[in-house]
Amino acid sequence: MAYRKPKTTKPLRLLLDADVVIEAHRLGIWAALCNRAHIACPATVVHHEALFYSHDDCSVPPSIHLPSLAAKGAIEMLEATAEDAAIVRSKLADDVLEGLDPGESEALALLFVQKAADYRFCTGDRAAIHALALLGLSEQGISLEEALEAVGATKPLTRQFTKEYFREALREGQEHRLRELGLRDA
Amino acid sequence: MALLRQVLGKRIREARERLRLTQQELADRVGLGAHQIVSQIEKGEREVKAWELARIAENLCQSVNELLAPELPPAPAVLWRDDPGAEAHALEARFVQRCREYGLLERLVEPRPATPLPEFRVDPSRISLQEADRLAQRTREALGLGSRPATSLVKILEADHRVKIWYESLGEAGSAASAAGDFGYAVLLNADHAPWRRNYSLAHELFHLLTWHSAQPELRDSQPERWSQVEKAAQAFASTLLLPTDSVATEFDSRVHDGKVRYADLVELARDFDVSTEALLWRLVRLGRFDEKEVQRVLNDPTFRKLDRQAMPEHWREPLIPPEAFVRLAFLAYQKGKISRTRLAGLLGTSLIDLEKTLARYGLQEAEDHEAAAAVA
Repeated sequence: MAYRKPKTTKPLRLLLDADVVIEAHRLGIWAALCNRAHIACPATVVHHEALFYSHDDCSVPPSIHLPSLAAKGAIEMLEATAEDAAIVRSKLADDVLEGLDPGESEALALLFVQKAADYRFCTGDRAAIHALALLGLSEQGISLEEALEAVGATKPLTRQFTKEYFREALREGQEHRLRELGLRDA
Repeated sequence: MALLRQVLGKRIREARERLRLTQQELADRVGLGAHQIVSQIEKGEREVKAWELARIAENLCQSVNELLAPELPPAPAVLWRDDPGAEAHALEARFVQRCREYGLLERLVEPRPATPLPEFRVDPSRISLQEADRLAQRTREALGLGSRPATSLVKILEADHRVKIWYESLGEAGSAASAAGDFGYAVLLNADHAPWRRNYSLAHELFHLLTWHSAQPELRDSQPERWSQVEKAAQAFASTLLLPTDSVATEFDSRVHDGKVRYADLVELARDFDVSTEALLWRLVRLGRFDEKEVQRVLNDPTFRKLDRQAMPEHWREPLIPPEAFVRLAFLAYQKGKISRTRLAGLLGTSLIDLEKTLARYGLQEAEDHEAAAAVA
């Protein structure tokens, strides 16, 4: 991994999707990310251990065992309520919501009701990025590539974690928002 | 918000009761500890965290979105051939959830329109075996099943008619079920059965789908005698559908020498049509090639049984769970950006870490260039 001086001294607050946790782990940058940014995960992701289970190892890799990391204070666990989820539900069409995992829906709820107002949602998932833009929260999204740059780290990434991919998915969501596609009928 | 809590609480209680779960059982499964917490949630007296709601939904075979919806879609009708006993409610809820997920993926991916299944009107109190035979012949022609219907039935029902075919381990005694709902038609087959027995069950359940509106499933409980007539017709339908008169007669007659047919030829013929030897032999009785006594003798003959067993392994196919058609649809929805990768893993019943390997089992691979396309002239 190459290191550069971080662009900002203010710690970056990242609300991570499960796919980013795994990708950061796979790339060997999970520890660095945790050290250099303030990391939070939606409680649904933290509690959903089965997402991170490896059949080969018959366990969750200890370095991404999120409940332990949250207990140690290495990451923060943010909780939304069913009421928060219902607010997001009132905005998005059923087919958009049903395309998301409950952890992603919780992340969107946390951002939308401003329980994670100073966090940026980091995901490599087109459906999640699309929903973020549909909710008018484009500014609160960030790609893994951009997040790594912000903490002074670079690493070759697969396309779904790049700035370009994130921008494209955001743009698609923004267009749909303008055309009121994917939004719940008033 | 108080209203939301009450509606949510009511919805959770209804779903829990449908599954015949106690409050304590739900509390244990979700990790809430005491049953009083479930009681408070159901009364709308306690705030529910989003992560708790996700776990509650998972254990009640619902999506979070469904639990939060102001109205529920009408409950689909599920018709079991034999009552699966104590597990019925859980099996049914899981089956319906899978059917709804299937329906969601179809909406998201928007594949080419389905061809509706033919609909046959029958009188349940009068349906004869001859009428069932005629329906089977019409069905074979309408669906284009050819001379070996069992080999193409699953694919044609799934691809052309969007019948959702699911498999569940139901034990040796378990039967099959069919369902109709907002997702269309669906069939649940026993994954523990031999492939030829599953084929037969599918053909049997297909009869119920084709006659769904006239031989209504409610009859099963309200008028068991009439229903037993319907079941006999479904058996005859399955037999005639999978073993077409002309093809079976021609193949069988060509194997008869000096008024006898070798056991090995009978076994091979059954495998060729992808049905059990029992199904083949009883069909041959109906076609006038054997008398019942001779079939009973053959079926009880250990030599025949041994030959039959020996021919099984090379033809045995375990069903994939989830089924391939469902996985391909889910993967397509993911590639189109309609569902997230985490949701894909959830639908496939795997983890994010093992997703790649699970996809590989179906011959699927995540690629960065999946949107590359060729220009059509």
